[in-house]
Amino acid sequence: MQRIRRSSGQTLNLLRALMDQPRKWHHGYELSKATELLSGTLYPILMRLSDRGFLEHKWLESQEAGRPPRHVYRLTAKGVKHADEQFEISDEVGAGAKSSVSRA
Amino acid sequence: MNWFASLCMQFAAWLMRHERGNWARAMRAEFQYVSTPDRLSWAFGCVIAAIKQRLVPMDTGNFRISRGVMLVETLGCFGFLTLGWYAITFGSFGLLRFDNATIEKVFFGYPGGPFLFWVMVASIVVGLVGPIGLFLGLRYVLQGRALTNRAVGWSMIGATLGLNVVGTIAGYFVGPADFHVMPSLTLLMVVLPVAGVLHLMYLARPAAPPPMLATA
Repeated sequence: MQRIRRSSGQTLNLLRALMDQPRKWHHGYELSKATELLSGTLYPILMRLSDRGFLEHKWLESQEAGRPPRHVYRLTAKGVKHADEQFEISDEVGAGAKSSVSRA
Repeated sequence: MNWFASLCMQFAAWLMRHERGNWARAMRAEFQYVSTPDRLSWAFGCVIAAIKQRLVPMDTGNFRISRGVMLVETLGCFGFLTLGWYAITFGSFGLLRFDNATIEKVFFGYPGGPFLFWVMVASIVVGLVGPIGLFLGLRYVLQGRALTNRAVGWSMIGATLGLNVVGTIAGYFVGPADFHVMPSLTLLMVVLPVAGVLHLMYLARPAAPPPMLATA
């Protein structure tokens, strides 16, 4: 059986932001605002998700004249499945922790 | 402050690993859309992201760094030893500037003096690791040639470590009364040069072939 690795809280936040509207393309600044992650944390996570095939990205021409194209991101089908698994694990861990606290 | 943030973005793009060039362009493009109050923290973050990307391959045991980073490493690893070697050899208190009478008076007039004299003599010989390492490191930066001669590499490492071990032990027995090991000096004159030589030897090894692509 393949063991699923639990993602960090920051990665979970990012996955939640991306899953908010899974078919929509998100840009970096928007994700940074939504997750409150600084660019120094956000981009390495995006790169890692992309390396693992969970994230697709493309360049999108800007609507405003004179502005450069933007790099935008959304989860792949594999990424959506991974996000769901991670949310489940996170919920289980959260429920386990809650019951331990109430027992104590 | 906008110019400083732009400068940081340029630095981040320069620092980013070559394979991540697309991501560096993405961060720079996004910077154009970041609101003014957030621009500096965004730029600093991008520098950190680039540094993290530099560290990722090292974390997995791959120390094949770019020539630009090697320049910094070379200066850090061999610069201090080279300066120290120059100072004790040709500097104003360098051994080559002393005549016999001065050496007799300065080193052989009190307990522990002869020990200092012989440590200085040995350091002049062994300290050559500094300028040699500096030369080899800069050669790698300019020509991409690492240290292929392993005998030279191990001799440099052995001489540096040997002098440090023998000198420390001898210092406690025949050195001056206030003899003690200075960790910062050991780091600059022994640990960093040895690490630098090891890295130059590692870079001479053939790179691992890229992993085979899986076929359907």
